[in-house]
Amino acid sequence: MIMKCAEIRKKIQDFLSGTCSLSLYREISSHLEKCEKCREYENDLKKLLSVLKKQSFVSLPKEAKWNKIEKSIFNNLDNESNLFENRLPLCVFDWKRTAVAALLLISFVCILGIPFGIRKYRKNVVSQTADVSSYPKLVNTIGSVSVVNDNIKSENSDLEKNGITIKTADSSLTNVLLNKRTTLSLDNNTVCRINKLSIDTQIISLQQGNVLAKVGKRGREQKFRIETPNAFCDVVGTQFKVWYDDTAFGKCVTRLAVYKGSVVFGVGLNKEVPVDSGYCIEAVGETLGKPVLINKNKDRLKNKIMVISEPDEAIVSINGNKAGLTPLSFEFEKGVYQIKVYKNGYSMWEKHLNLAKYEKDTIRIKLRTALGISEKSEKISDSNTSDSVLINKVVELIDSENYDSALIVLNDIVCNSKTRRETKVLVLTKMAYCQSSMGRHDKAVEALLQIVNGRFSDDQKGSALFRIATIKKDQMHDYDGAVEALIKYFKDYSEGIWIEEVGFSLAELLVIKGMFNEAASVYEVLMEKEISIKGNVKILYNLAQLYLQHLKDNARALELFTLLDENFPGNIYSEDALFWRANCLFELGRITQSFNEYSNYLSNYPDGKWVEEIRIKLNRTETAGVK
Amino acid sequence: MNITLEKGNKYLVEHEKLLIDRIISGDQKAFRELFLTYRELVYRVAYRFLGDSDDIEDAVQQTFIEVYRSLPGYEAKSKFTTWLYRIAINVSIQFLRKRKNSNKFEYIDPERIEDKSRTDGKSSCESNELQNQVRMALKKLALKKRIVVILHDLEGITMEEIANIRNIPLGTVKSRLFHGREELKKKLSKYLYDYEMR
Repeated sequence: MIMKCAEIRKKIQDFLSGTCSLSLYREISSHLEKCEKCREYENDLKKLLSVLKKQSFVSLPKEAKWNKIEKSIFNNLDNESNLFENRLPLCVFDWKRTAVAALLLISFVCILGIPFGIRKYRKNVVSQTADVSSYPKLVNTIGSVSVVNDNIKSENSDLEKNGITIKTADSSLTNVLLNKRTTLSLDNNTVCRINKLSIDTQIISLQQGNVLAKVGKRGREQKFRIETPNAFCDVVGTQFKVWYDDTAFGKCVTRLAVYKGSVVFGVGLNKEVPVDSGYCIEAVGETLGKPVLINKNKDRLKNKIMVISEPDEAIVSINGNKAGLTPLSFEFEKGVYQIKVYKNGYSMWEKHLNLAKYEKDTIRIKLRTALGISEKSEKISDSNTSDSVLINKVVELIDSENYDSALIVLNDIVCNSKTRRETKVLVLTKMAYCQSSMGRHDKAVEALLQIVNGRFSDDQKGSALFRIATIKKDQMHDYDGAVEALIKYFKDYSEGIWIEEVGFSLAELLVIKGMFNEAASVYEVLMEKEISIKGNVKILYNLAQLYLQHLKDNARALELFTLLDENFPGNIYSEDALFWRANCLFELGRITQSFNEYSNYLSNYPDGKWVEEIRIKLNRTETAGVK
Repeated sequence: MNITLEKGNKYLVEHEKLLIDRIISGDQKAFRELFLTYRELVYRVAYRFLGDSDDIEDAVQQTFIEVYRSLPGYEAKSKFTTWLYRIAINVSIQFLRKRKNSNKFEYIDPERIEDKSRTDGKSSCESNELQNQVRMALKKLALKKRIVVILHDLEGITMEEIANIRNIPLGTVKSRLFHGREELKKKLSKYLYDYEMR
């Protein structure tokens, strides 16, 4: 009986709160009817609860007091407002932001300086207050990028020159906006110093790695130059890429590939040569090469590749034949190569690579001790290794297509609450890449959505959104989903760096879905944005085609084709545009003008792709005229 | 109010989610909105633990600053109020510890007590006495039990939610509540004997 009562009393609280089961409720009720002591206990408990309930009243402060509390909170928050700053303010106007930027930079350099061996940059760290323009701006940064304002002494004088050195770490990328129309895209492991940045002159010194420069329209008096220790590239035109390497071949090697316009490439005053679009050139030390055509199959310069391993002196086997020991440089021709790198005590690295399409000039391999990859990755995850070390590991695992192990490490990094925001973006992006590579596109989208919905910068969110759209479109063939993501980007990140690509993708998908008017609207909006010349040309052509083929508005199509020709003479669509313009005129009944345009076509493009069609058309018209 | 069905956010009420997103993106107006919505909840928690003292205002202020700092890490795995209670309680506990270290005594404003219990003029003195005793008894309870009793019997929070707030098993909540009440009953037995429930 005693035990029974004790048990009942423990459960009386559930009984009173009504959270017990029906059977227990009945049992307790019947027990209470019989047992007076337990009834007393219940009564006391009820009294206690009633007393406590009376305590529940709280006299709340008056509005004035609330205002005082609110004011104190917001005063405190003002001091902490940098907590929610998403962007790294490279150049700033007001002192508060400047102070934050300076603090960030100092901490960045202190943290990154030692591991990346850039001690010389740490010496002269100063705040960014000296720069009054809003450029340069870092956008779309992935991974670790250090930015340091530094002063270096000129070689020829004792004068100190101010500049900004930007360094990307392993597996890190960034775009640097120099002005509205000029962008430098820094690849990983690149050191680049902005020596001069004014309206008329921009001088950039590339100290390591490679930079893709997209240079906007400029007058003749304006100067844009990328210097490397042994060469320089003066810009006349618009788009080119420069590589600098002083390690791989034992000499200073600068390479240049020009994609658009032309660039003056030189190693000294009398040793310079103009390089036109579609050509590339190399300078080894002070020896200047000759411009050669860029390999048409790939958009870049290279027929040599270097294999570096850690540890070195590993055996390199190419297509089953021993080629030598690492570091090894060899020339290649088109085709897929089986490359094996092995060394005693280490797991063999093996890959089939289409070297012509391989994106780097160097294959860097870190050989693993023969432990087993997953075991090792767990080991690394368990230890207190820093995120950057783990990310390097991830890059290696991804390189060796070991996505499962990479995901284990990535999960560990992302679960670490101390992981920095920039690292988190990189990790989530890599997770998405791994998942996508394994065919799990929905998981890839999930990872990217964490960026889109997380506390990241607009550029990072926008890029993730664009990646989602690309995965949905290209991998999942979920066009509705892709359109949704692209529209969100188009609306929310209209100033984003991917706006051009997003616009084209969106318009293309809308055309597929038969939403021609909407597609035309997208092009019209895109036309008002500041995008590349190539983009503008493409918009005009695509829009004209849209009016011609789908919206059956020959007059508007004609207008656009004419606009294309007038604004961008000699563009890549000139031939097609001339033919279609003639067609539009024909359809509009302006036969004479149309014939003139057809004749123009035949004289300008005697071997053109529309020659046959024009001849048939002219014959038919003549026959009809005779009849 | 619609509840989003997104994974991990199933408990997050839509407008709270939007509000949080706005705050995270740096919108201080949104944070003011959050302050206005939850200030009383936070004040009540601080009042329960710290009594009627000047510390309450500091605790409320500190709680909202902590909320602001921690919002980006809020994963919406639980209700927002659960998360808010957790922060408010932790801040109050910090203040209690500080107070303990500095030997600062709780100040009870007699006017307020009078105000609150002026329901029956005849028995106001008795009532004040009882309320004071209850307060003292609560104060003497071990902190773990006190938290559960306060949240359940004074704030009316369910045991399941308390388990979430304190991140402890439901059984532990029940056990602490049972023992907490038992202790209170013992301490208040002579007052409860004469107490008539109204």
